[in-house]
Amino acid sequence: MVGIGFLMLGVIVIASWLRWKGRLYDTDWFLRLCEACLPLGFIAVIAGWITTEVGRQPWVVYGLLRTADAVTPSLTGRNVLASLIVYIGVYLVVYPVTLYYLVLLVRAGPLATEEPEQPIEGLQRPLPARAAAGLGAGMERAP
Amino acid sequence: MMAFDFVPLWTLILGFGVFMYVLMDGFDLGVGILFRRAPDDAARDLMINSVAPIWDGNETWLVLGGVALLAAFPLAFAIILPAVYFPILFMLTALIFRGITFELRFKAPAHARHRWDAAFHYGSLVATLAQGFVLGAFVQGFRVEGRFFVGGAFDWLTPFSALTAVSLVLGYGLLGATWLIMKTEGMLQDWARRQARWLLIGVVLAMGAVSLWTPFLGPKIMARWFSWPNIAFLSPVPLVTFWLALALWRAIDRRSEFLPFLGAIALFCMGYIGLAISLWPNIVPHSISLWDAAAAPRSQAFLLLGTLFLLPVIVGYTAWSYWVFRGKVRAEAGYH
Repeated sequence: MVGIGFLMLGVIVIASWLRWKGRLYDTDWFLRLCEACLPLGFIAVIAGWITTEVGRQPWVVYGLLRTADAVTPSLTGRNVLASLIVYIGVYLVVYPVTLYYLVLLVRAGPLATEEPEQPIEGLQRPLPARAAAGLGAGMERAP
Repeated sequence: MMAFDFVPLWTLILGFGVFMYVLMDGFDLGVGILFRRAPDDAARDLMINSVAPIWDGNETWLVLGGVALLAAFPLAFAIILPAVYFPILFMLTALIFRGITFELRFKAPAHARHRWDAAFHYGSLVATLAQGFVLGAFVQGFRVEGRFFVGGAFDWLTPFSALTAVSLVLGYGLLGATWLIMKTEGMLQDWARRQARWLLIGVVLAMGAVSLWTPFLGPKIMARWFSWPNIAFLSPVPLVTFWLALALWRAIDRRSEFLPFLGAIALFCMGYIGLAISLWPNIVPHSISLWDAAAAPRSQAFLLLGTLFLLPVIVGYTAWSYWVFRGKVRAEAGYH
């Protein structure tokens, strides 16, 4: 996790240098490097999580309360297994589905959409500039 | 030096947090409960857009309530949570499916959209039923020995908790329908009015049934309500509730935009007060009082310091986001 952190910092330093030179958006090898860095954030988070969860054993509260003593007395092994299976099931549905939609979005590519007239819903005052340009027509005027 | 008693203050904070959750996630879960019955797809788009900007903010209160219970009343947390382990599990999984619907439904191709409609509807319904079962099991009380829950994993499944589960579905449905009356217009609003009428009848019957059943759950609850002079002091509670239900009916009839939602909130408020009267001063009904379950005064004081800064911030940004998204939802303005 720490290594990945420094790797990311390195990418930032390179990016800053390229920006300074005005070549940030057209340096081929750097854009490929950024693409390759895509999974790093996920790996870092999971690696960090595993490190803390394994590292704290056998304590729940370090030096005070052992994991074995912190188990809920009424909870049976079967209950824990059942809930674990439910969570695994949920993750097995949610993550592939989200990934599928992510891939769809990437395949579709960036759309050249115009800025919507009302970026959020609800009543909004027309901006003075828009109103002057006649874009405020049809918009609700706040009382 | 006399130690300051932080328990009343923490009781207020916890009570406020839980009530805010019930009201705010109540109406957006209610919109989900009504979702599949909506007249058409355009109506469903509007319904989901009416809650999309605020639903996740509403669930802040669930986190606040849970953490306040853990931090300020750890003994209650340690008994209640294991006792309702499975309903909480069902609630969380339902909330996950409901939550991703907000993000993925509008990205789905048209032929797959009905799956997300189902995820939103059943997610809302299961989460509400689970909360209703938790409520019923909580009011009935748990098998406690010393500082532990000693019952089984499915003790929460009883006729009474089934009644509270159905009641909560009707109640959240009413909140959702009156919210839609406030946020929509035209055909969808008329549809919401018709739903609100039926749901109001259901809610009045359900509140009556729960109110009549609750005193039989324990002699102390019976004595609290029916001994003299309590009965004189407390009789306004059911009377005001009934009057509110009538006023709500008339507000729907007169085609008020805002009053029905306010009336539904007031009905929930009366239900909450009734519950508090029945259970005071216990935090685990029939067994453990607020004071017995409280954390050490110094822990409560320490946590209070942070909470007193945090709470106004949460209330502030919540009010702000409702203000920004005020008014009717329209078809052309999307959330994304």
